[in-house]
Amino acid sequence: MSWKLFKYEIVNLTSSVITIIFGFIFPIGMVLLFSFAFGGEVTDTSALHTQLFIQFALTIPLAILLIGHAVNYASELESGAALRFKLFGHSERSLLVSKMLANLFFLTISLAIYTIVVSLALQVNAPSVGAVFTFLGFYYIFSAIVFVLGHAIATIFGQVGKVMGTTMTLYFLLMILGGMMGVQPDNLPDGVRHISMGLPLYWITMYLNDFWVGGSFNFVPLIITTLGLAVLSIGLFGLALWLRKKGKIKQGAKPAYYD
Amino acid sequence: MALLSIETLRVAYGNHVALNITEKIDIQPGDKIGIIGSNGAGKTTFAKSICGLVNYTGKINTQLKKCDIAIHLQDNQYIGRMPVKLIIEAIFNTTISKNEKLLDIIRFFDFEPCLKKRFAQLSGGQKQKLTIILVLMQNKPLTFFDEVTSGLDFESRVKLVSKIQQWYREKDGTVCIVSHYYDELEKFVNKLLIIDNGRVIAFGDVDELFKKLCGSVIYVIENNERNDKITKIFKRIGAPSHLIALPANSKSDETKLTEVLIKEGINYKRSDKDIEILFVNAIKEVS
Repeated sequence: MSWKLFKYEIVNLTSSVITIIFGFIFPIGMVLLFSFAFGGEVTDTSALHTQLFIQFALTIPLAILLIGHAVNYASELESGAALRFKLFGHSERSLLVSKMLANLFFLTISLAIYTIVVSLALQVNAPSVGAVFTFLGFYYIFSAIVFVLGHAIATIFGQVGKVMGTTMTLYFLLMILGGMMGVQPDNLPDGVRHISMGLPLYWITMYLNDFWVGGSFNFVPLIITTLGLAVLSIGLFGLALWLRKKGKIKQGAKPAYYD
Repeated sequence: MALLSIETLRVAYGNHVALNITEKIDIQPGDKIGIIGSNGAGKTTFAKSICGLVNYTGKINTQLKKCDIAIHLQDNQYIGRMPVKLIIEAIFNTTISKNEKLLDIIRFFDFEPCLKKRFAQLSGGQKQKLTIILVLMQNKPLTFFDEVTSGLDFESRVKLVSKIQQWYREKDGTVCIVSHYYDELEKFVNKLLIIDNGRVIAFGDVDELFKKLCGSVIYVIENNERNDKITKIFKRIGAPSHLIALPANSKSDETKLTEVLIKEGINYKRSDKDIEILFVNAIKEVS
């Protein structure tokens, strides 16, 4: 991985409309919107604001990596740009590492801006040290998982349209199941709630708020569901690599190498 | 010793056999090989299989590694919103202004004004130039150019090809160039590989192939009723439907032929290297 390639990936990310809108503007906009919408219904405003802050911070990796990275990468596969870089001697590994580092940088900047804006605009409680480590740890681990998931989806479909459709659906599905669309996971219908409980977002949304202000937090379900999601993502990535190796995935501007 | 020697090469896409080479093909150092054939003949598949971009069965003997072969594909797309300068710098991990060799190539192709643009703002010819610069900068022992000029207008095509020719005039790199524009190849290549339906129809020195398939010299005239009638007495070889190709294997044949053509006021083109006519006759011989 080279500095120039990292710079290239940063420009690639920052010039993507999807990444900017969903990664920067959307989380801040949604927190502010929901805080105004539900602000009058609760007595403890700071608890609401803290919960919204935690929940919508997690939409940043979903937007930047699950949608943004997947769509960007699919576009590179579809146009043949990814292949061209490989033909010029860049290994897939170095390309992937530069993408990961650029995304990591972007995720951190985005979270920092989000934290500053939301903290200034709303009454977010000051977190306990344990909550900060838990939140940040989960933020980056969850990011790594959705990066793998997004990359796998992009590799399998290899076309912007299909990848956009799939990742957008997953994005809103995860937001609904994670209680980020105005309905708390516990208020979801029974069957849906059980699915929600299988996701780490549920345990963060429902219980991190107490831990944030010094309460207790049971890490076991969070770790188990995070591992479950990681296994699912890695499995899908493995499937993508296997399909590609078997030649079952056609990629590039022209699907076949005829002529 | 050959730079690359193909003993057998077979590529299949499902049930469709795209390429099936059973005769030995030696690519010697410094060769400039034109690869020609109709659409779907297997030209791109040939280039891609040697570069390891498609799976193949068979035997290719070479000391070259994958990284010693450069290829300019038909489609050379990058992310449209990316600045051209950054694409080049990222690919070579360099700063253009500090890289004299790169600057030389960029100047040689008059590409400096394009560095400020984004990839999507480049014209078709400029996009091709960008990839040619990137390919030439690699300076690999073996380079494939796959239809470099397809989709370009006549003027851009001529300019681009003449630049590539000029570049290689002073270099000893081995080049394989896939093209449908035979006039481009005539000025550049010393060998021809003719592929049809995935099979090699002919491979060898252009002059030798021409002599074998067309004769020493040919005279090409327009195919119309009058020309057809007047030149009926002369031997003919295969030609595209709009042309008549008349071979001449001796000075006296040429004299007889030109006398008639001049007397009748028929415009003609004399050639001892017409790749289009060579190609038609290679196909004709097989069929």
